Amino acid sequence: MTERIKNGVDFHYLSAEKFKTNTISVFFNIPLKRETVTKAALLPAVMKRGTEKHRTMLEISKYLDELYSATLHAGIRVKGDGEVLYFTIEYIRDEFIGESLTEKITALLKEFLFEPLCDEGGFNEEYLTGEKRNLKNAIEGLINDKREYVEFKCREAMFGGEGCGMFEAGRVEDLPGITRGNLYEFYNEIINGAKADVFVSGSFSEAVLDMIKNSLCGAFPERDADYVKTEAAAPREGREEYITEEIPVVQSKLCIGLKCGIEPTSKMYYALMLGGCVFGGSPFSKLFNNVREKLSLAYYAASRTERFKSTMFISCGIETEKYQAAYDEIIAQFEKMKNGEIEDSEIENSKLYMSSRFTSMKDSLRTMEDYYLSQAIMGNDGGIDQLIERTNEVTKEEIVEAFNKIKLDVVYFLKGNMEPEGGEE
Amino acid sequence: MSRNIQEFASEKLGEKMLFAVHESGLRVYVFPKKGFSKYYAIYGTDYGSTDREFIVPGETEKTVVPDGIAHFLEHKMFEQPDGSNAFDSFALTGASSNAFTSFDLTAYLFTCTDRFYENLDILVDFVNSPHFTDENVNKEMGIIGQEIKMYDDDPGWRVFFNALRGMFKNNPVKIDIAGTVESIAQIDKDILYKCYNTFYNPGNMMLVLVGDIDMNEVLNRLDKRMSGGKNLGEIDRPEISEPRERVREFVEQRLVVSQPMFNVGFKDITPFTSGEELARREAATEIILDALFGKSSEFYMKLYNDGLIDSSFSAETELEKRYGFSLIGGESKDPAAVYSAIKERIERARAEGIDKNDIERTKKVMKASGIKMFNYIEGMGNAYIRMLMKGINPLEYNKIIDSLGYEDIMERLRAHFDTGNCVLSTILPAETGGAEAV
Repeated sequence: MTERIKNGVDFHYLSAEKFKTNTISVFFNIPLKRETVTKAALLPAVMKRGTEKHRTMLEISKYLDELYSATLHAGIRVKGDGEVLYFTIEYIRDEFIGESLTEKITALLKEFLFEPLCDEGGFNEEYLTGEKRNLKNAIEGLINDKREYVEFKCREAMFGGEGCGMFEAGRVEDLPGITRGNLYEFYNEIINGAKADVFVSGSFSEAVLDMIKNSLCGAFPERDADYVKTEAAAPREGREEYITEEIPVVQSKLCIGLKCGIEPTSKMYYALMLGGCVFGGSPFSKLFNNVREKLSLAYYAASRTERFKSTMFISCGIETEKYQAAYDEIIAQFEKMKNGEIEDSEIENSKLYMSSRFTSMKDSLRTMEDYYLSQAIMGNDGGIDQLIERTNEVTKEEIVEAFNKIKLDVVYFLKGNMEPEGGEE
Repeated sequence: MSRNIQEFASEKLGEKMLFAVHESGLRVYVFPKKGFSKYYAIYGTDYGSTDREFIVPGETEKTVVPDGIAHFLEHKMFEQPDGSNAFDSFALTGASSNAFTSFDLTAYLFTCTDRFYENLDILVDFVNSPHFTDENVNKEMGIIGQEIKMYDDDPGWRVFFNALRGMFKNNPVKIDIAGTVESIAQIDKDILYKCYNTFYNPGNMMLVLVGDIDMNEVLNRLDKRMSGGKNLGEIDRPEISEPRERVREFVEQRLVVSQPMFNVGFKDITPFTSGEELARREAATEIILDALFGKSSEFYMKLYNDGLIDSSFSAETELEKRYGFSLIGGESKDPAAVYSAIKERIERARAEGIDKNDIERTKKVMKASGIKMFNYIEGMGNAYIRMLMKGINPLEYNKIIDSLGYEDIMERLRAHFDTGNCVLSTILPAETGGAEAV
């Protein structure tokens, strides 16, 4: 259920009785831009450090413990050409602890949002310095997970480092220019100007819902703001880029980035998503059965599609000298998708598999919240059941049509040049 | 037929656990969940990477097997006698299936939202029907070889195993779960069958089910698929003598990472007595770790403010029947400084005691986590099969936390956290090259 509280501020209620917890969340939607990407990543971290009332991390943490280990999460999530800053608190429902926490939780969330620890010059200097250091480590730490790293490098090359081709944690070179003053200005722009969504999920009485609406939503000034619209990535004809990066690791990683150019709310999207499952999205997919099981080239060989931006990434970990063999097999399987060499059973099995995955989303407050937020951003109606229905309507012809729109864009090879070794004394 | 089904309930949480021993000897647990869409089944054997020496029931000689065999066996179980694989069978029902091997547990699992009993049949059937050939064993070498190499590059995994190697001299917990490319090369179909026939017998296995499930229907289905004749009873696993002392204090490795990672390890050699005793020891250890090093500790706050740790800092303990350890780890620009601070904090706690408010707060947090667990269908199955294998009733865990007194916790602190016997494992950044376009 969604209700417009005022211009630019929406209230969403997801009713669910089966969970032991409730969540209250606030999302701010902003464009993913070069000028603000680093600030957006930094802001929730600084806001989480202290409020006027709970001035230190220790005070906050102890207070959350007191509230039966309520958990606060704050950060960013990319949604195509936009990103959302989120603040969410999850806490145990009254009946399991014999105490009602909702009012306290609502007040605490408001504290984080509206009363971060500040003085005249902006945010607390010490907190800003500390979180800049942590963010720098997070940005540089991308390399720690090689699979994530190669997928990012591929995406970066696909979009020339712009928009969703940026690492969402931002850039180290921006950090020195961020001051407590200009970050505070940015904070004010968000709090007072960004499209805001309040999600309340779990089990609540009408009276409690009204309390949250008045107290939390009421605190947001009206704003002339809307969701960020995403432009589907346009496939480039015959312009594949091949990039090799050599690093001292044992296993090489291959990532192939593709652009699909399919609108996320179009009928064709469901064909792309289902076709993605047939191609490389399950343990009975073409990639799994051929790259892994038949040719023993890799432990993982999978593809995933990203709905907002309409991209696909194929990823596998291989022996360095098996690069060509793996590449050739992936392309051969991709060609089969385009030529319609797809068994009916592959489609039927993928429908069952995806339906089950979608139905499962109902068992997680966080996943449901994210689903309905994405729906709102895309301007799409319909719940999970409708998603399942659309998926089940997809035909083989539609899958073939969708796959013929997709173009290979960047092939990124992270080439390992090291033998394994153990730790040393 | 009337069955002996035991019921344990938590009125306050509206949760219960049903337990029955099937005629075959298989222990079956059901955690009924109304209102959820998902079902979860996990079918596990008390067998993992640390079971490298054992006596096959009926034999007198000890069998020693190559490292990584439990994990290899797990991969091969998916292959079916008719040449298909189990993923294909689950594909027909829409279920998602997987498996994992840990130090002392190998488990096969699925989640589904429909046709639960049919999926349960598939699960039980495929785990009960091994099919190993020279050809399919050889094929798996390449896939697992790549899995091993993936872990060779994984700094979080390396820092963990290097800490175990610093702690343990003889206990096989120090050996990589997947083995090495060399050790798995020694595996053949005969040795796989020997391990399978020994450990995959109903008396050594457990089925844990979460969802809107009827225990009687489950038992009826098992009647058609499980027979008692295969129950071998207790498997003799020779005691491993492990010295109290660590192997070495410092272990270092260089990998492509942005900043150093570390694990501080405390080994445990307290012998296993009973499930309840193990649970008490484990809960006491968790209370200590959280009270001293958790996010609500002075320690965490100070080191975070000093820039020595970040939110990756965490502490955990793993106490099992045949091994045990605690680890405190994360990323830091200066692991040695964090290491001294940890030792210093423990020394102070040993001398001055732990703040009683911190203990009470920590207990409250742990009990709350126990309540939140009931939100997660798979999380319940995964956590509970481990507890049940150790003989711990998950619905009783909060009572165990409550029963721990201040002295119990201090005694555990003195027994387990010995700063003269701990280990620092670090991963340091290696030099890297750059990208080139071709």
